[in-house]
Amino acid sequence: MTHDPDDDDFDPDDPVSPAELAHARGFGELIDRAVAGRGVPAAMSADDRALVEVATVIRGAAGRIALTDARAASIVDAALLAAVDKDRPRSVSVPPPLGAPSPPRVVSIDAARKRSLLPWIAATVATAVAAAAIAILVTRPVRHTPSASVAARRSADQLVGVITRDRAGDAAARIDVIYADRLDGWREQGLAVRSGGTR
Amino acid sequence: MKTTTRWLVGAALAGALGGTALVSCTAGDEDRASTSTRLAEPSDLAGTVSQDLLVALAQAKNFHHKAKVYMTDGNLTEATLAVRQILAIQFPLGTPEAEDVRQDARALLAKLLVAQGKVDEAMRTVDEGIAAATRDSFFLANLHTVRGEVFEAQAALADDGTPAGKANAAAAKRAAIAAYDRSIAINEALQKRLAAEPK
Repeated sequence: MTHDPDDDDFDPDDPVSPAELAHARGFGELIDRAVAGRGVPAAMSADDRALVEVATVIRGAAGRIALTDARAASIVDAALLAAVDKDRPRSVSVPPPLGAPSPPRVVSIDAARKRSLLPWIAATVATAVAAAAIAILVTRPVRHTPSASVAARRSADQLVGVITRDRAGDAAARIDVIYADRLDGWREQGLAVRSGGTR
Repeated sequence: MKTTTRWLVGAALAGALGGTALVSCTAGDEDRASTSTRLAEPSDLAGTVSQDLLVALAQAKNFHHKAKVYMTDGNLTEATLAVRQILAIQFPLGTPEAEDVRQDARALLAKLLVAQGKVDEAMRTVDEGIAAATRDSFFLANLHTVRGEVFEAQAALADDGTPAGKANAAAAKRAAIAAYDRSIAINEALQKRLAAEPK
């Protein structure tokens, strides 16, 4: 049996019931955990949670809570942001309750924005330079190395060799050889000129 | 996209840039290396093939093949006319092919004339070609060979059984041998010269 303080027949001098004693012990352990920084259970009655928060505030006011650097920076950043961005909806979360795992280090919005832009700037510059290099590679004038037939045209003697007596009248075959060689040379010259070569 | 991913993208693009730049520089080095050793020299430019030369050679080629068709048809008169047209082709000034092609045409023309019994005209054709020669060549040697054949033809015609005829025939045969010797001498000298030239 428990005694409700709002009851008319409530008497503070009444002896404590076992249920009240068990509840008081459980709440005491809860406060001990909160004060020791070991966190509080996720499921808790609204009355107990309110009492725990009050106990935490009282203890903090007494100056006996040692906050970590990260935790302190988080609280300060949140307070500053709240002060600076008063007119803007808050996107920054309120620091978690005491005892929760420490959140990652808070970075200012400007710094985070700069850090997020840096890779894109680097990538853009790299792409632009790569594109320029490719363009130069494609459009640079290719110097065509002249082949032997162009650089040092072979004489007709070298092409046909000694003319034997049995082939003395075979001029048609010889003119074919000479013409084919010169045509080949002429084409190579044309290719060299079209590709911006030396000729 | 996470910051790490952005950095990775940036690094990949930077890698692409580096690779492209490396390829570009390497290709440029190869190009410079090749052109530094293969730049056109004034002597090389003398070996270029002009379109006029190609046209002249193509005309000579066509007349030779036209004559060949007539020869296979037994029409030596038309074949002779076709070969004569080769002698009228205008070659660009200073091209060695002009002399070579004309000498070869004269050799064939002389053989055609001999085949038609026009030995004296054949001899004139050959002698004009030899007289116009500015240098030794396999074509000039061939012309001397054909000259020897013309002399042989003269010898055959001169030998009518009379002592004078026999004497004329003997003289023509000696001239033929001299022409063949001259041809052999030109060929040997030319072969030695070509063998000594760097490839």
